[in-house]
Amino acid sequence: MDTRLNELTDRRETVNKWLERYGVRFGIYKNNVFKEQLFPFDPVPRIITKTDWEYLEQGLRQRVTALNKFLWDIYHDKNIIRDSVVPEEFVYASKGYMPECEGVDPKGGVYAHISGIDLVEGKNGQWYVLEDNLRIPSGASYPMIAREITRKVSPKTFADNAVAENRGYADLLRQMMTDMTVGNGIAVILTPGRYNSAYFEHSYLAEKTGAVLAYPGELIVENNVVYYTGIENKLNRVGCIYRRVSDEYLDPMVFEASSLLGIPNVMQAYKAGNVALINALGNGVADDKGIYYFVPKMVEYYLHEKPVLQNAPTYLPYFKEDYDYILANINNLVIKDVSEAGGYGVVFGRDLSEDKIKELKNLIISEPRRWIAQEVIDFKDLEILEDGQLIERKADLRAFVVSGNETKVWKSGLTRFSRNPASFVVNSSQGGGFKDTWVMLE
Amino acid sequence: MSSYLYNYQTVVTFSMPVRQHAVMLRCQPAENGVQTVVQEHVTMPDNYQFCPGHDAFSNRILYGGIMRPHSAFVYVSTGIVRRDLDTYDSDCGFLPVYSLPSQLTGINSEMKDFALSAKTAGGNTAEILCEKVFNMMRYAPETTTVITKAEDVFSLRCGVCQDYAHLMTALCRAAGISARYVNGFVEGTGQTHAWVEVFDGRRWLGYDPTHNRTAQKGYVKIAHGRDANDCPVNRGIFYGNAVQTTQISVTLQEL
Repeated sequence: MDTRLNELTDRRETVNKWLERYGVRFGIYKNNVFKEQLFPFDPVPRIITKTDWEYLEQGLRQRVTALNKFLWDIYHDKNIIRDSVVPEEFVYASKGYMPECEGVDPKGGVYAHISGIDLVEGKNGQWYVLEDNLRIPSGASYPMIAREITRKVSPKTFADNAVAENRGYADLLRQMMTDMTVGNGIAVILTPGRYNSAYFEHSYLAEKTGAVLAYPGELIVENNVVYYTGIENKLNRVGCIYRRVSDEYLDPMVFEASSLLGIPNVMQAYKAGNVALINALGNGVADDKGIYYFVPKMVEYYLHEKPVLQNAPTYLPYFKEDYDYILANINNLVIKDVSEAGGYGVVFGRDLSEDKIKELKNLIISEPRRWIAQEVIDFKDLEILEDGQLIERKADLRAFVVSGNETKVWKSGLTRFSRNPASFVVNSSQGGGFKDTWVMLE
Repeated sequence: MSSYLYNYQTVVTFSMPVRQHAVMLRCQPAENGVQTVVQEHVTMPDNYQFCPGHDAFSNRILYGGIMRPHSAFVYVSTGIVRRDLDTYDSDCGFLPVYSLPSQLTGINSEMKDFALSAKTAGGNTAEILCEKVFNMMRYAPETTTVITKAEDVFSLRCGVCQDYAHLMTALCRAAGISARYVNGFVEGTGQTHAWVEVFDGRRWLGYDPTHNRTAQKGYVKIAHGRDANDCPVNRGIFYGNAVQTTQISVTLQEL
């Protein structure tokens, strides 16, 4: 056992050293100061059995298919509102709803080309979806490069274990971009630049997929067509933009006027069907924390199937019954602000003082639409290596689902863990670490 | 029925040449069953590329730009528009959106009380709010900016037509009335103007809180939206260190 621990400790040091050399970093804004930090790698992989994976794969495909149908419906016929499955105000009051996307037809009806679905496994072996990320889910590059390095450091590991290959992510992305591309144009990845928290990932994915890494100002629109000007100022037609710039900064002519990260008039080119945007605009309306509650209902509504994956038990103060339950049980619940992301705006009732509880209750009473409450799930802890010992920590799994002509699940994922033993929040913006995710072939 | 001759001219000058200048303009009268454009002509600099289109709120847009360095941008929109005084726009699209606060038309509890007191006063709530806004405000250019929010206007109690319109729009929505922000031309010579349209259950009615009157005779609409951010008459972005100066002049004359 000791030799194994020593070996793991060595491996951790080596892999982290390589990650550092490759510049694998995660940027964080804290008090308005940009700080880059390493995203620490833990050498003990998360192992997902073949049976578990088949279940997850089926559930993830089903969920993302329903979410794509929901997005199409919201920006077209709105049947789900008319049939009173989702209340109107949850859609129109959502920050992610964009009137500009009404009637726009993304190719194949696909809105969420890349979805990052966050799951946790309960102690009882039951998986729960915690969050759908349908805008710009990041993180796939970290397990990719960590596996790449581990393979070099310890080739034997993958010879001895029947682990599904994870290099396929680049192929999934490339195929999806090819499926979506318009007018024989090139595929580009638009990065806000090196001060973005996921800049390493942008450059890594560009390298792995063969797409051009484009910076703000290098993409222009002329007569409703997008061109890349980065090569000797020549105009290269662009057919597909995997943009890592959020909706509100993507077109200063339509959204945030002061944005220098966007492409002026790209919205018009997109509306005209002359360029694909990966992911589509307006997806925020489907990954809103308030809309999350309705996702299992969407599966039944659009697909006429029972949802395979479960949500964490969730309550909406908007509904009278839930409202009463939340106010009575707030100490046992986790309360989330629907307008926040990245692990911010999440509070556990049990951690709050009496005054803070009162404050929170008043906030819920005055703005019920702004909050959701969830039961605290008893996560299954995962082992991590610390000071030569294996200790247990909270962890989640971000699974990546890629939708082009077909919807496919990447046989790996990003497992993040919290280093702080008391913390249930495992978001990388909050300074956790990550480990490889092994999907077993047998 | 009245007919108007309009002439709308914008001169943008840069203190030094700029490049990659992209623009989106709303400079043509709306066509909506109430207004009919009888004749129109838009003059653009030769080297600018433009496409016509519609934005999310069905407003007419012209968008495009120029890549090469240049230091001025001038455009003129002229024509004749006929306005039917007995018909109203009854388009019900986006009604839920026009009932909710937007970026520039948020409300606070004080505004909510203010709006509700107008509602309980009896009579036509929109008309009462139009008058209240007119009475509480002082017209004062340069006290606000294009991104001043209704909440701030409510406490400042001064501003220009955009601020009057935002405040009235926010208050109407707080009182449960769907309302939208409108910009366009008003009879006479001056700048572009802004006012409000409220939905009475069947149709959109125009109110001008800057002048405390209905916005009907003597008004030509260009565009509408949730607030001014949705329908600026001119939005542009360029590369360069230049200081931009914009001069707008509008003439609207009944024929």
